[in-house]
Amino acid sequence: MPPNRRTSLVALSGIGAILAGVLLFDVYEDWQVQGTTLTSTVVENALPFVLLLGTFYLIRRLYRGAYDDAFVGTVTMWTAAGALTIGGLVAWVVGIQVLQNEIKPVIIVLQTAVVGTAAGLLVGQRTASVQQEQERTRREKERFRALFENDPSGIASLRRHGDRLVVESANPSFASLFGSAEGKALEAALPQLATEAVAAFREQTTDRERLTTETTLRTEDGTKHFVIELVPFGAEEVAEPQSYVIFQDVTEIRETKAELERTVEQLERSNEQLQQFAYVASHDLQEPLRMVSSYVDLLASEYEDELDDEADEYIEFAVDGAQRMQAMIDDLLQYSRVHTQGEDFAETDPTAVLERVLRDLELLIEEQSATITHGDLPTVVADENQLGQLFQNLLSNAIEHAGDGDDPPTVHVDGEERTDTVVFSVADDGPGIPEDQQERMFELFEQSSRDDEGTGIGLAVCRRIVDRHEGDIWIESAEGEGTTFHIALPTRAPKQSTSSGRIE
Amino acid sequence: MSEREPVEILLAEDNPGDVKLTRKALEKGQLANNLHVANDGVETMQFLRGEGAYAETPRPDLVLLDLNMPRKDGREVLAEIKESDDLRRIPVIVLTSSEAEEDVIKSYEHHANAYLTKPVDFDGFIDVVGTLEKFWLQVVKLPPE
Repeated sequence: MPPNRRTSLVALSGIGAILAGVLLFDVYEDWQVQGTTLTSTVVENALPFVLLLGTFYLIRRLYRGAYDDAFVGTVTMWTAAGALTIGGLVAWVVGIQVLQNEIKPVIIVLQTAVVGTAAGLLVGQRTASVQQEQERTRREKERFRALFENDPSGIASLRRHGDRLVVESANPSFASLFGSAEGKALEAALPQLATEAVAAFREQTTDRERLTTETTLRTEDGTKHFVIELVPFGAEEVAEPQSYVIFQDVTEIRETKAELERTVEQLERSNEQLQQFAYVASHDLQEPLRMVSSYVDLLASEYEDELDDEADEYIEFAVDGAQRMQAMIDDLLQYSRVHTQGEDFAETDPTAVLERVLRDLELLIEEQSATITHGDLPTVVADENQLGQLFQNLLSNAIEHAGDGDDPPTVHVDGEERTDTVVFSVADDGPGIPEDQQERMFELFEQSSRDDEGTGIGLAVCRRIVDRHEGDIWIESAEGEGTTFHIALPTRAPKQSTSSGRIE
Repeated sequence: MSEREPVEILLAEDNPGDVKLTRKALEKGQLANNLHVANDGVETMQFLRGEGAYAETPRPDLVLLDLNMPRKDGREVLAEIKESDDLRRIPVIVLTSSEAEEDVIKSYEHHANAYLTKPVDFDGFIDVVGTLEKFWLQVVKLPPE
């Protein structure tokens, strides 16, 4: 309580005490000396009585906030009682003395009333503190009880008794797992528990050291896996140290974790196999293809004069098929290399990367009289080569696509920083892509109407690169209104994907 | 550099299709040559060392080596040639379909004299063999036997 409040309290208590004394004296005098009835005396003194009550009410108000109601109530009651008792007693004595004209009454009443108030206040405060403490302890116990009784973990409180740990009490969860245990020695309550564990629990209870261990135990609900925690408590250096032993059922967590690990492992393996497959397919397919195309070439050149037009046409088809297959294999190889040949991620300046790509695309740009512009491109964390490949694929795609129209194509590259990501956009002024075709564009070997030259791998490679960067790629387009490709790349390094395929 | 003895070339290659292609390509070249063929790594080493059936064969001026061969692959053959005091001077050209960076690096680490990837179409193949023939057998001065 702040000092000014305490001062007011003391002052008010004093005033209260004086009032009480004066009041009682007056009542006594009226009643005894002037011979009026008690009832009429009280009625006559109603005003000071109200004042007295008001004073105590003020004391209550001052205490409120700092202490709870019960505390303030107790203090007030005792203060009042002290004041009234002593004040009243003294008033009575003094009354008699005054009647005998021996002493000045007011001084004595005042002094004793103050003493009475102080004594009452002191006793009241003390009593209230004790009560409050008891209440707190009771609540604490209740709270603990509720926790103990309702905890899903099996909990037993143990006490060391000679060489043994005895179960003092166990909660319902413990009982439902292992049956009734109270009063038994730990090894009797839980015979399955290893002897070493029981010994360790006993030592740690004595040494007041926590202990965590894991074990599998049979319970009334079947076999379960537990994390067991021993938590010593209570005062140090006692004859019979105590502890809690907590059995937390982790069977389900463990099973889920194992399941998850298995799934991740399977996924990793299948992903690895897939990469391996794409790589092997593209590499090992080259060999027979080379035979086919070489010998068809040889056939054409060595038997040129002996074959008729139809045979030449057959050969042409064969050569064309072999060439297309070669292109697809090259694409597949490029696709699989996104993971097998990825470099580490590093802070990358996209402007420099874009400028390099523009130099590489110089020929195509000139051929199509394309205009390429770009805005500010914020720094990203990326594989520089793959970022270049992204720009290159999207730009050449945009130039070719927008170049289908009558006007020379215009492409604008831009970048925008958002929370944790940078979103790049490559916008062209071409004929646009119908919505129902947009998602399909990113599939492997998808040949949309807009792309009749390549094998349709460019955008699939883009998506794979973006996936490796844990980013996103999407199309915004409407027919006749151009197409914008957006790429979101994180500004922080993603978890490095492991290149587990063959190094090429 | 006019009238020279026909050059002896050893082709270590298990694929008959490739053997034929190489033979065709060399025929189209201008240089007189004798092409010998070993079908696997073991045969290649026997040929080079003049062992067994190859006691009478000439020592090759140039080896064209495929990397993927049965019994003993081209990588081992290359290592053995370059570790041998007797054979290491013979130029070895790795001629393979592998574009794997690892193969390229390993080959040069084992002192391959050149690494060439077989082109897919026949015209490309002829070009490569022609270039090879011209450079290694006409331009380059090889050590005397």
